[in-house]
Amino acid sequence: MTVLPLLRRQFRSPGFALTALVLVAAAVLVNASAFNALHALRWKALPYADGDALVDLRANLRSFGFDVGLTEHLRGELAADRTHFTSVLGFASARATDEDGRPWRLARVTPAFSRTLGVPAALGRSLAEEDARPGADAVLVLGDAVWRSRFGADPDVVGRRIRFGDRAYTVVGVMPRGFVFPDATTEAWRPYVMSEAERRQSDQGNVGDLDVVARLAPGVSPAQAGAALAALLARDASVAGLRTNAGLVGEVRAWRDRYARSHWRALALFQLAALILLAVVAANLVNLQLDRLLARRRELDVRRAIGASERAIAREIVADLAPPVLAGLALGLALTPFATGLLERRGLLPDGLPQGAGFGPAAVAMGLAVAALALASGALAALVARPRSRLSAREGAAGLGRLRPLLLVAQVMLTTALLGCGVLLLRSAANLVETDRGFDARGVLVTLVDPIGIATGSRSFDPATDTDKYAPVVEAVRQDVAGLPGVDRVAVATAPPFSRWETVSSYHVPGRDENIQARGRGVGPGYFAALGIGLVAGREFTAADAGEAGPVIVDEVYRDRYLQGADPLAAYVDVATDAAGHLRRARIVGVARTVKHESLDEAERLPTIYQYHDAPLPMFWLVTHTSGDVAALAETVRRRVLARVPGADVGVSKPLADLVEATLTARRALLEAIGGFAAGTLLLAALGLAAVLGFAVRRRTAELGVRMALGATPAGVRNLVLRQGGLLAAGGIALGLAVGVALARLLADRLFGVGFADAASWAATVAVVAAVALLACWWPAHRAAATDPVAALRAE
Amino acid sequence: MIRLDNLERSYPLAGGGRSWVLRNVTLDVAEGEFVSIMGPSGAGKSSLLNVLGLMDHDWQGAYALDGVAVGTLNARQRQALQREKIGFIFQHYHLIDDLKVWENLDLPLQYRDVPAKERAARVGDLLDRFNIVGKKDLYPAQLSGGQQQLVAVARAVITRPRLLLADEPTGALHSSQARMIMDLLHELNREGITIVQVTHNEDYAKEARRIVRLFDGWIEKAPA
Repeated sequence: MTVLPLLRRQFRSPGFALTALVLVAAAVLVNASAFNALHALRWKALPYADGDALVDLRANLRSFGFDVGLTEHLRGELAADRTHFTSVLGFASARATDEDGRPWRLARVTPAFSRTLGVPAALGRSLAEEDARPGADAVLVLGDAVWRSRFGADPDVVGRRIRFGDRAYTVVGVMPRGFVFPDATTEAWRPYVMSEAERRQSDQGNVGDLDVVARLAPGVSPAQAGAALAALLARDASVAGLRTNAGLVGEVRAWRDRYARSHWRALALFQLAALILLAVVAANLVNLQLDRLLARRRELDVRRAIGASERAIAREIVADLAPPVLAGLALGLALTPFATGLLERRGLLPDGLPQGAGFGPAAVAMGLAVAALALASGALAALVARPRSRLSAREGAAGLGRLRPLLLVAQVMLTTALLGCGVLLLRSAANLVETDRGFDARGVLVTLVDPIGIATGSRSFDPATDTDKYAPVVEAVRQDVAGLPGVDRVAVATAPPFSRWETVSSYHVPGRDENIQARGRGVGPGYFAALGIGLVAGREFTAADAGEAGPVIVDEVYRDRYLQGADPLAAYVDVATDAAGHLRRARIVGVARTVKHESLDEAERLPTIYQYHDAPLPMFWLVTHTSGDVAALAETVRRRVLARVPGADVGVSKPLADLVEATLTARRALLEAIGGFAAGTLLLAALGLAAVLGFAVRRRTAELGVRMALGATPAGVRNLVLRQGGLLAAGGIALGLAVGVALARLLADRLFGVGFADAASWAATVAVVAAVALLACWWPAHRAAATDPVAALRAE
Repeated sequence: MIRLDNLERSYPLAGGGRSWVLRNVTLDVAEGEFVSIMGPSGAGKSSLLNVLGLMDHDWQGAYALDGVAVGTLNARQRQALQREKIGFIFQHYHLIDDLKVWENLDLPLQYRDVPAKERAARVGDLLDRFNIVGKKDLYPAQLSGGQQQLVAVARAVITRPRLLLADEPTGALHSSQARMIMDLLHELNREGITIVQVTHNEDYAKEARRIVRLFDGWIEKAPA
């Protein structure tokens, strides 16, 4: 068939062309963006030489339920192990502000930066081993993006000096375009040279200060590297305490998994839902085609009569579908970059993925596969609609009546499965939002204040001299903020909930042989009131609790675990007074409600012990409660802090509700995606059901006319059609339940407070699908009931 | 050209048994003949035309078309034979609505993989011969019934068939248009094309060299 008649046909039936275009565009869009993201996460080349030989080495604190980085001391030990590692690189993120007040995101990297990652500088040189010598470390390597945005891609940038705080750094090189490490937010790299305090922390086995990436020696597997790390952690004296108290074990994973692990499952589920949508779209396309072929039945017979082979007919049917499919493919692919951006913004893709997740061959390949499937649906329709043989019109509908009900049952089945999963996710989200978090985030602003400027690298903290110097500053800042209009309460803390700051320490419960591990929190007066954390016994801290013999407040987990049956207010706990582990006995003066610290679905693994601390240093959090607009207060507080301490850095100043919300982002994105796809498939299945029943009614017009001529009532005819549709829908729903429950097993780790086979959720799903199916059946049934027997019989 | 020997066609009935539409049909049509098939509704006229046109192969008996035993052919061979020998004309013209007049004529040649240049030449010749050059860029809906049937006849003969099967070719036309089509069929017959037409019109039937009458699937009169 030539092109012009093909295009003319599209314009003659714009409804079909437009419907096919929209269906294909939607299927291409969701599948191409899902596969593009999956491909980027799992298979796209990392921007390093042989990136698959890089591994991430971490310390897993099993007793605490999380994993962290290592220490410089451990990195040095690993670097000496040439059997397993070619080179080992440590890094820590840092922020800085230059002399023009522009914020920078830096990474401090240990020697072997170039050797481990295998990427030379594009301009100048990369960081060398000698740059890490104390005194020689004031050099900087720029990323391509910052070189372009802040230096106008100046080829003479090497040698320029950039001042961060009281130290000037010399630019020695620019990394090539596309180089990202450890993630896309990092703009430049400088040598990691430990301060004395950092060295002490490292030597004491304070894991988490340094993230470590290593290049495996040739022939070494990640498992072998894992065994090497395990052996090191088992023998190294610096982490002996963590081995005993925190269940320390090593964990080695491919560097790619650092980003992929937490997102892989959600994206895979997203892709699965997209494929289900694709299947339903394909089924609808077949249905649409069959309707169209029915309308063209006589024309196709004529074509056969004048010499068209079945292959030529099939070719024409597929060619007929090609323009809307190709237009849908183009539209879907054109929108894919926006959808990919949306996946990133909604948290289904990690921020700053090193290898990037931009539009690429994977999206095109998936788009082409979807388009091919759409065209194949035309071929399937042609195959099914192939007549046996005749010139007579009487058999024209032969062959069209078998596949469609099967397609419909499949559509209802997939819709039920997807919708059921959506309902489960929705209930989980509702359960999470309603779960008792132990605090009230409404009206609460949390602000991280770094009065000395440590985070920006401009100053260092010396406890011996700086504690006394800055303690009054903390109180002054607190009072300044307390004086702001609309502020009810302000308290300081070392780590408020959802701040992503954590301290786990050893405590001794009198009467027990072994120490216990608990979350340690330093909080000032008014903390519990500001956060709305209820006290189930005792009292809050007051200023009178300051001093070396200060009391503690424990949470319900501690009370239930260690004080069963005893009066908590008559109990004591031994708390450490220094890094050497010396203990003092502290009286418990209150029992606070248990709060969620990191996520709403976290298990109550560790108890929490609050100690009085009215001036946490070198950094502290302000917890501010306001009766006014909390978001507007954020900037006001920031300005007030800077007005009091001009050299301070305000790292975070956000409503606590936003921090809680951020932990739900990925979960919500999955809910939105699966819920959206479920709604789409429900609509398509409803349209399919209406189309199939409408088709059946048209085929049975004469029969219905005869029935009515013989005395059938309109209600009787309507029920006849409703029964026909109801049977198909019921079959689909029953199969959908079986498939859906199996599918929901994959979601089990995303569910909260609801099981994957939750009867109420699945009953609700069945009710919704059945109600929509009934609505979809109603119109054809109504038309059947309105059949005019005389007209029907005359037409026959 | 056509030799049918005891040909029978039936359809199975749902409750068992069969419904017979053609019974013991024996018929010879010589090359260059013009034959009319007549009979009341349900007599089996269209069924017979389907068999003759190789559109239906589910029959018993023997059928030879231009010396080829049709019963021994597979589907592909039957279609090749049909493409080579047979042209169809329908009561309701059945032109393709989406295609212009010249594209309708071009279509059978496309299906036979005739090269584009030759197709253009043959379409041009036929438009000229049927005096419809001025209509070539019109769509079927823009033509009268007679003009549409004229195009349909042109489409049927553009592949130069040796057998033309016409199912009520004048059934949807008023008398002057019907006359024109019958004259055209006579002209084609004079040029050597064998024509078998199904018709209800006694006058037009008589214009054929002979009439075959069907009743309940049986041939009433089959002159040798």
